[in-house]
Amino acid sequence: MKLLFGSLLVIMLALAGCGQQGAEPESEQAAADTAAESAEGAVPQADEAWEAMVAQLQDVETDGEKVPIIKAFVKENPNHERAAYALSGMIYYLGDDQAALKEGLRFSREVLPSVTEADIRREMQLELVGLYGRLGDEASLAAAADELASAKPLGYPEHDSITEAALEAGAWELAATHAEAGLALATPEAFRADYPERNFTDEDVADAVRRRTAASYAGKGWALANLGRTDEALAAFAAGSGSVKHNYVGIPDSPLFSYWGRTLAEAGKNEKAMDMLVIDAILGGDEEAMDALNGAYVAARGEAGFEDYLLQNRRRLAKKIDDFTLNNYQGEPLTFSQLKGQVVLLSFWFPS
Amino acid sequence: MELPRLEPLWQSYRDKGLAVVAVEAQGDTENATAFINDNNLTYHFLENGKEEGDVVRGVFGIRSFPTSFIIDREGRIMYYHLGFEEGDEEKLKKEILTLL
Repeated sequence: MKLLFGSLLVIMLALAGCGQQGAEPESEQAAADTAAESAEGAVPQADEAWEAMVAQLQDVETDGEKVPIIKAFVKENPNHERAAYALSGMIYYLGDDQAALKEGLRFSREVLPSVTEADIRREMQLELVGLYGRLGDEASLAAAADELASAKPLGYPEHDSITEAALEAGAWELAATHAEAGLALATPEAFRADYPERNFTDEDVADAVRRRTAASYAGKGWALANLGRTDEALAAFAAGSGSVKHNYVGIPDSPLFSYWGRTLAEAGKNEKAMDMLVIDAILGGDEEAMDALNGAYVAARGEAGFEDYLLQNRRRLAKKIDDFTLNNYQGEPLTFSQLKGQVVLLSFWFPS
Repeated sequence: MELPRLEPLWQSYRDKGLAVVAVEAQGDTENATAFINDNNLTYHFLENGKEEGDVVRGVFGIRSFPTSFIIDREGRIMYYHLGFEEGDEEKLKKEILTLL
């Protein structure tokens, strides 16, 4: 969840500042936006109100100071093309503090009646769904899901948001239902139907279907595991595992293996659980996977040696970096392997 | 922004064998050099290649920024970090210290 809002932050700056798509967002809606922009070769022009807000955001230091700036923008421009997007940025800057989240919820509810554009309204309702999930408010979450479905049949992005919020709130039945519904929409036809005005390459579509499949099986499996339906959960994880893709470093783009491992650990299959958890725990920085890995290790092999086990696996899993050569701003080439023997912090950035 | 916070980190540990390399991904040379100069940054700054030479996307498949790797003395990527929030330089520092 954190990652999702974290990447929203970078896209926000990218859209506002540099005029090129700058990030691969985690949410499918944002991913579709980025893909469409890149296909068209241009980002829609930001207008004055948006640019003024972004300029103000860049002038303040802390996340807390950004919240009132975005609130003012949303309040003034509730039907702005990017009002819902701005609202999601505001929610990101609220952080994890429950009181701040509640205040964010109050503000979102207050602004919603002035949103008359149906699409923007729907996007904002999904932001509310996310907030209910983070606040653990199962009843409001279920009511919001019903309200969305009664206005218009739910598309995949909506099922996905509801599933994610329900998993966070521990509303397992609701999560299982919407994950299953999402899975039914993990098809090229459904993906294109969710974004009718866009032109996607076949490759984009295939990747979106793959992501949908992995995410739906992951959510379905984790919901079923928490409902005590372990065998069905394990079957869902196995079915979805082939749709998970790993990035250059080796980190999977779905929590499926983390959920799978935690389910196995719960079932007492500790060695197998460790195999499933080790990548997310070590490479992915998934703290829940790390806790479960630690628990499974102790149960399977005893108290001693966990640190060594982690170190060995860190070395085993760490990818050897491919060599490359690029120029510095004086036009002099640097080949990465020239730095051999040093510890290197390699950072990829763009000026905002 | 994370890059100015890496300067003191580099200054503190360069003698122990730390190198810092920042690759600008978008080919925005004008703003990149202005940023580097304004903040007096002195570690390695590289320009990404264009098209076939696009190392950031072509070799590493990176499309979210900022992304950071920490690479050990044998060339293994031991730590991966997406985004940069307040306090993240402490996390990076901790990982670097385990490898130096």
